[in-house]
Amino acid sequence: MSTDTQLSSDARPTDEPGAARANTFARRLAGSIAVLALAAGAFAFANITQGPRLNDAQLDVQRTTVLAGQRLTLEVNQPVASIDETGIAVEPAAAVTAEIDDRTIMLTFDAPLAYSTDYTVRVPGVVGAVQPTPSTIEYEFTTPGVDVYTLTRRSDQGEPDVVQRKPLDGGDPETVFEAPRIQEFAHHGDLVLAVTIEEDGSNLLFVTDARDGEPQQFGIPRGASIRDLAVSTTNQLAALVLSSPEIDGVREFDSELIVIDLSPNGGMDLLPVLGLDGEKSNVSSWMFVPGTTSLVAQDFEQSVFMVDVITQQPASPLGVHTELRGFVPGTSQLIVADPDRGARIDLADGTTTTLELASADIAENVYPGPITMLDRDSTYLISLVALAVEGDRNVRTSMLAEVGDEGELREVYAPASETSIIREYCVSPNGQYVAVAASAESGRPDGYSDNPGFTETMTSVVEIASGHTVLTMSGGFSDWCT
Amino acid sequence: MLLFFGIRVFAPEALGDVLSNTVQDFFTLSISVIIESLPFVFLGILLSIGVQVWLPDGFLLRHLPKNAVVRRVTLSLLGVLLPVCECGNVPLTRGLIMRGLTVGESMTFLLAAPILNPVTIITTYQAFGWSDGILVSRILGGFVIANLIGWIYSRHPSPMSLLTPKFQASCAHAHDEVPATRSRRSVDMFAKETGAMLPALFVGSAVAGLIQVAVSRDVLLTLGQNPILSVFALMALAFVVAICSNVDAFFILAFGSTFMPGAIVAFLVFGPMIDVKMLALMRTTFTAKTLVQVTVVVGLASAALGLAVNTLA
Repeated sequence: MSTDTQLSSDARPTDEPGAARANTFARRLAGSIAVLALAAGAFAFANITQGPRLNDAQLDVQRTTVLAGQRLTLEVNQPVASIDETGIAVEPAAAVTAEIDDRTIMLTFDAPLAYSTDYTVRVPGVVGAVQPTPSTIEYEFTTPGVDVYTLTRRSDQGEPDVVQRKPLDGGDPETVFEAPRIQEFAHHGDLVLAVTIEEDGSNLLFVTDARDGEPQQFGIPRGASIRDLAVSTTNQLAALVLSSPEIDGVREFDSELIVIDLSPNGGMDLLPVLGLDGEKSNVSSWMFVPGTTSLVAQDFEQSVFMVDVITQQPASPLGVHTELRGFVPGTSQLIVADPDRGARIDLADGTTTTLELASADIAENVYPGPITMLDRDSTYLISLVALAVEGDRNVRTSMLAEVGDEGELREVYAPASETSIIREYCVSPNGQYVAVAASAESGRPDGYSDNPGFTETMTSVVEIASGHTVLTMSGGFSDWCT
Repeated sequence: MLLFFGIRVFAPEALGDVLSNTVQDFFTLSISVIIESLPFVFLGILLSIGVQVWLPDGFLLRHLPKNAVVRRVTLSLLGVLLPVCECGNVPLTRGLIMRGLTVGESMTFLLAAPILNPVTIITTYQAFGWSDGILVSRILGGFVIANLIGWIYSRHPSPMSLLTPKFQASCAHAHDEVPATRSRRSVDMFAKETGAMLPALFVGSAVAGLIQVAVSRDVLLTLGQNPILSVFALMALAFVVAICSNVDAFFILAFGSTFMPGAIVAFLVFGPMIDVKMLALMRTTFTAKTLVQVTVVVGLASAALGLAVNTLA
């Protein structure tokens, strides 16, 4: 039994009359009910007068600069009946298409986005399914920057060759791999793969993490040769063409396409890619399909096929073509060339359309070089070389130009020195920049038999839309080309 | 359990075919509430016996703060030590009243303990994490509402009149009991509390099953699209399904993509305090008028909280 001293202050007998205590209770009860009812009413009113609000947003920003068709999912706090589609604004400008599904507004970017850019997306006129107040949903995100990688060959000067990288938005170049002689390289994020040339001319394959720089060597057959090393822009996959020397009349690898899973659980094993006949494929060229785990390859009979290197499903034939030219940036539209025409194969649906490109409007003394498609329409880049006679000598100048729908020409880049020659150019995965490797007139072949280059080569990264050079660094062989 | 086992063993094989789907649903839903609640009811009865019989006289009251507000705050956090779901708290609350706690203080414990206990907090965190403030709103909402009820009833002019005459008689009789061994008293009390609780549990579970069969969940889900009606829809669902607070977060997680966060908060706060089964159990102790008052205050507070979350979250 409790005593008074153990009771709480409320429970102890007081001098307060019963009627007063009853009034206090009634006031508390009625007051609480009134306050709670008012609060509920006020919040209900606030709910009615405010439109849908953004709860969550999902976007893989890493892929936005690599692939077209990336989706920004805006999840609002109530089902959406309609939005003002014509009023959707993206700053800086980017084309989007919008869809609504219950509480979700999905915005699909028609093309890859620019690097290192702060984007703001505004969706006006968002009306909920249950109340008419419209609201504007706004979301901001920043796309990742990109590093430019080049290979500088210095073995003719008695120094090791180096792979260097430099952030596009500024900073000093950083050496991420070096060896006495480097044939080619490719990178995925901070992982750098490099093919070196040994004294006997054979190749070794190394992988290194650019952050800690401790190279590891892959186990490939002694005396083997490697070509066409490339890394997927979206998946942790690399592939190369491997040949091994003949031993006792047997050649273990003969231009075989080999894939390497670079993921932490991938084991870095060398896995053969199976061709159309279900056997190990011998290929002349190949390339990854952006955004997928598939690649397209061309065998020595010029048959082109596509195969998923993870599932290793039977390869899909894509016809016979003379040359694989590459993909429209950020898409799965493969450009192939034949003697009589070019074609675009949409690997998403298998359709093939003939490329009808406007001819560049160029003078008689100007000679066209390789072209690269820039978008789904018919805009493309072309390198041009002009020959002229000045006094008693021939002068050769080169430039990179964009050719529009009607064949109109716009200069994108011309070397600072008129006599420098554009040796190679590579469009960035999002189609925003082009890395142009040019060498001085005095530059000479570097003496490498596989993947040869020129001495005195510099790479300039140029914004295609403006023609503005944003970065210059020594070396060439940008892996944007692979 | 033995009863259900016996029914299953001796019932004809074809019995299920004879019953309509609706009747089968009614039995399934009612029995599921009973099975889910039964362990907690027995645990609550055992804890109640522990408090009433095995704790030394005055132990609880001696160790509680004397200041009324601090005392209620302490009682509202007692669930941390006694992680029983709401149906188990009713017998425990009865025991606390018999031990001398005021009705207001006991109500504070009764309403807060199902939410402010580690099992409920952990399961809510596992279901929702920190998203939309659901966990924080549940904890703070449960704490504030329970203390509000305690504060209101602390000034009742005649607290004993809040209790049913039968329970009042039990309280009075408790002090006149003839001396007996603690074990004997424990057994007697177990029988008495079981006799009081189980019929209420069965009736409450049957009503819960009946309403769930009668009211289509599709209606509730349709209402769930509305920022205002969704709050009341899930409060109604909480009232009907009468699910234990220890597992209700996982139950409502399935509706998480349909309903707004405020509605989920209202479900998680209102359900553990007031539902069909709880009202049936609480009716063994409190008068109908008291329960109506408590239901109105808790309902309004839960609705205000849910609507606030929908406005702000």
